[in-house]
Amino acid sequence: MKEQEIKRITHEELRKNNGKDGNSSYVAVDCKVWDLSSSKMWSNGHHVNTHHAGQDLSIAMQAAPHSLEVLERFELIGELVEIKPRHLLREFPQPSPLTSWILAKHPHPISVHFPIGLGIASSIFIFFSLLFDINGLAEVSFYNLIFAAITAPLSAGAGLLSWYYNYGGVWTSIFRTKFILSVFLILILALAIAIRVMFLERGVSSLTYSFIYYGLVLLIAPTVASIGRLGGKITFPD
Amino acid sequence: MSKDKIKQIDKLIEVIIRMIRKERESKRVYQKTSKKAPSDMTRLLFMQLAEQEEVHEKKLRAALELLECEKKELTKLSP
Repeated sequence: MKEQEIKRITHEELRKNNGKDGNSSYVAVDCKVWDLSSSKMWSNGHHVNTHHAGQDLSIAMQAAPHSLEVLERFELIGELVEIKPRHLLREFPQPSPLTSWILAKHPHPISVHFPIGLGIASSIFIFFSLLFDINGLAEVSFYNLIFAAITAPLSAGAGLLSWYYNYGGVWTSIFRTKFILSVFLILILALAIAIRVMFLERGVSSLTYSFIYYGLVLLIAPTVASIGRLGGKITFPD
Repeated sequence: MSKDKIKQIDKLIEVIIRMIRKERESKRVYQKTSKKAPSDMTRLLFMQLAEQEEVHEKKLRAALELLECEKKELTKLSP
């Protein structure tokens, strides 16, 4: 087709030629519009029950198992106007050299073991201190709690970095749940330390504060286990 | 119904983003290996493999975009 013969097709025209009610089957790919009415693969204006005529299929074409050459068997109708070319795919975020270097050291898988191990240890020690009434175990639990609280935000930060660059910052249910649980864990840790330091250590030892403190510390183990399980699901899918 | 479909799409998106990561890792390994290759033939082979991983990644990103569009549409429809 010569340059001067190229017809300008509007978005409205494209949409109208959807292969239904006797209309032609037009599809647009990279701003070029093709008439696929004669194709057996496009009967009734749809292809493999997924793609429909009358649409811009630039992105779909890039995911297709066949190349662009299949379109060249059909008539090129013209060029699409009034619409932005959709053949440019969204890029995943590109890390700076320093971020690449950090990510190559796998900071999240390394750091995540600290809040998990220390958090679970804190819950276990408080459980046995309550069970056998051993004050020393409650102290050990508290020190584990402090170190879990220090390492949890670092690990969460490394996780966010990995999610943003390695997984393109795509927000899915698994990442959403992991994010919510991580925030919840950091809050539990901070609150438990605050109650212990502000009330229990100062002798404001009411039963309510003790119950809240023990409850929060016992809650750490299932929370970190759930976060760890989700992390495992991301790295080692079913 | 559309909530189930959104869940299904979410699972597919998770598979795709994991695979994109794998394709990128493979590409990096092939590129690194091509630089250490002892002969032109092996160097070319690894460079070609790296290029193929790039094509796979592009296809996966296109599939990801289509699924994200579908999810957005369904989320709009969902009550």
